Amino acid sequence: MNLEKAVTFRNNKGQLLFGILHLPESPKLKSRIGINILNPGLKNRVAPNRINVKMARMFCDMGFHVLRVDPFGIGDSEGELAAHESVMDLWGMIQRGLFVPDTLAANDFFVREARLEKLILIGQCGAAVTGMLVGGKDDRVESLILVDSPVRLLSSQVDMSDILAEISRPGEMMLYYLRKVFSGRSWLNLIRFQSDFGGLRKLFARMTHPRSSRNQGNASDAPGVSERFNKKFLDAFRRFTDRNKNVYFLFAANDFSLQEFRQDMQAHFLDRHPEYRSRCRIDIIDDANHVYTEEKWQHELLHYMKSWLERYRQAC
Amino acid sequence: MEEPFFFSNKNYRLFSILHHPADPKSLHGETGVVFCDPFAEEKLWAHRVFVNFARLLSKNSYWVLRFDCMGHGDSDGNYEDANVETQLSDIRRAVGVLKEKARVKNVMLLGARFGGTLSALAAANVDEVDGMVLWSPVVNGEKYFQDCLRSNLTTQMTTYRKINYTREQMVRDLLGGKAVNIDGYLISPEFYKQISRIRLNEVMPSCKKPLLMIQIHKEENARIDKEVQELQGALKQAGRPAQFGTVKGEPFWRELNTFPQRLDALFATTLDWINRQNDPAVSGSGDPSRLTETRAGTEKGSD
Repeated sequence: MNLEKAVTFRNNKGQLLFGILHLPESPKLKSRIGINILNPGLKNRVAPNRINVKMARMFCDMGFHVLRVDPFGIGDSEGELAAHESVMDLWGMIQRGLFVPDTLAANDFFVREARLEKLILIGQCGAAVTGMLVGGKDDRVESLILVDSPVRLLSSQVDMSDILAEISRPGEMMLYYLRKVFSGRSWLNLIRFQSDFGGLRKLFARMTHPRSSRNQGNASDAPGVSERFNKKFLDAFRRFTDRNKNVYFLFAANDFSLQEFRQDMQAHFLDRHPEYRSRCRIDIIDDANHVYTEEKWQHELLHYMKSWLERYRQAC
Repeated sequence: MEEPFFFSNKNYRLFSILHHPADPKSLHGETGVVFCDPFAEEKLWAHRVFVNFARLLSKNSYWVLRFDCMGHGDSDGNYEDANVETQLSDIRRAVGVLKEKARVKNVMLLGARFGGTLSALAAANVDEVDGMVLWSPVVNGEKYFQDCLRSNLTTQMTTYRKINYTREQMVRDLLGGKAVNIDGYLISPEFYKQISRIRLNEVMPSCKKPLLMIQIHKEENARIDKEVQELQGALKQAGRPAQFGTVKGEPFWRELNTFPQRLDALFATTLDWINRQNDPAVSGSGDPSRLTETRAGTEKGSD
C-alpha cells in the first residue's frame, strides 16, 4: 500500500511550508523519478475538486514519488501574501514568479527526502506558469505537464470586467454574470444602480461582435502578440527546451488560456519555430472548463496525463 | 508550534494539524477548539481564514485541531463516500484525538457554513463537546442543497449554452440512487438525503451547551437572516445559552475578487466570546454589545 506522509520544511526565508509526500509501495521505475504537483495559485495543495489529490494517488500507483506543497501564504504554510485590492494583482505576481523560490525549495526537499534523480513538474493555471519558470532554472526538472497555462499577465491596471472582456469567451463572461443572477445581493445592487453595467456592456459587445470575426487567422497572418504576453514564460520555455526537454500542454476547451496560448504562443512562436514546436505536445479536452467540474473532464485530464507518463516511464 | 499528522477513524486516515498553545500553562491551555470545515469547494475558499484564526487562538494559548473529513482535503477516501454521518463520526473522533494529545479539559467546536451545521449537530450529541461557535451556518439543509444544485446549472449554461439536466432531474437521480456533481464533487444519494433532513431549528433547542452564532454580511449593521431569527426565537423559547450577532465581512467561503485571509471583526468577536467562556471576568477586544443573548428569555445588545 502506498504511504502518504505529512511533511514540513523551511523555505529560504525561514518560513515553514506544509505538504504531503506520496511514497509508492514499490517504485516500479528504473530511475527514481518524482512528480512535484504544484499549488494551483490561491487555493491550497488539494486544488479545485481535489484534482491534485486524485492525480497524486494515481501517479503514486504508477510507481512515482509525488509531492504536493503549499507555498508561503497559501494553505497551511506560514507567511502572508501582501494585501491587495484585487485577486488579479496576486495572480499577476504569481505569473511573474512569486512562488518560484518556494518551488525550488520544494524540489530540494523532495530530491533529498526521497533520494530522487529526476523531477517532473505538473501545474495548472498559475502553477503552470510557476512550473515553466522553475523548469527554466532547475536542471533536475526533466519534463513539464502544464495545464491551462495562461501566457498573458493579469495586470493590476485593469478591472475585472476589462480582463474578462479581453481574455474570456462570452461563455466565461456569462458564467461570471450568471453567478450574480443567482445572488440576492446582486439584485440589490441592481436596484441601487451599483451594478457593474460596464461589464455587462462589454459582454453584449463581445456577443454581438465575437472575437472570431475580429481577429481569426492562421500562423501567417497571426495577430500581434498581446502587450500582456508574459515574456518570462517564453524565456523559460526556450531555456527549458534548449536542454532537449519536453513540455506537455493540456487545455480545457472552454478555458480562456487556450485562446491566449494559440494567439500569442502558438501562432507567434511555435508555428514559426518547428525546432521548438517539436518539443511540445498539445492536447485539448473538449467542453471542459477551467476547474474541470464534470467527472468526465477530470477523467479525461487524468487519462491524458497517465498516458504521457506511461510513455515517459517506458522511455526511462 | 503546528504539528501535521494523520489519525485513524474506522478504516481510514484523516489529515490534521494540531496548533499548540503559545503558553500551555495558561488557563486557556485547558481548552481546545476543533474546527469543522464547510461543504465541498467552500472549504477551499475558507481555508486561509481558518488557518489564520487557528493561529490567533494558539497565540492566545488555546489548542486548536484542524482536520479534513474523509473524502475531503488530504484525507483518505473520495467525497462520494462521505455523508453527514461519516462527517459527524470524523468530528467525534477528532474531539477524542484532541483530548488525547492535548489533555484539555474543555473542547469547543467551531464551524463555518455547513461545518457550522455539523458543529451544532455534533455538539448536541457528543458529551465531550462543551460549546460551539457557528459562522454563518446552514440552518436549513434542503434549501442549502438546492442552492448548491444551482451551481451545477450555471456550469451547464456556460458549457452547453442550455440546461440539459434540471434541478428536478438531479433530485430524481439522487432519490433513484445516482450521485450528482456539485462544483466538481460527487454527492452521494445518502449525503443528499441526510443533508436535506437537517433543520437546526428542530435540533438545537434541545442542546444546553453555550453557543455563539455569527452571521457574516458584506454590509455594516445588516439584519440577521430570517432563518437565523427563527432559530434565535426557538432557542429563546427553550431558554438556551446562545448569543447571536452579525459582523461585516466578505463571504470568504465563495470565490471573490479579493483574497480574504482574515476578518478582523469576526476574529475579535469570536475570540472575545471564547475568552469569556473560560473566564467570564475577562474583557476583550471584541464588541459583545453587538451580540444578542437569548438565555432564559432575556435579551441584551442591539442588533
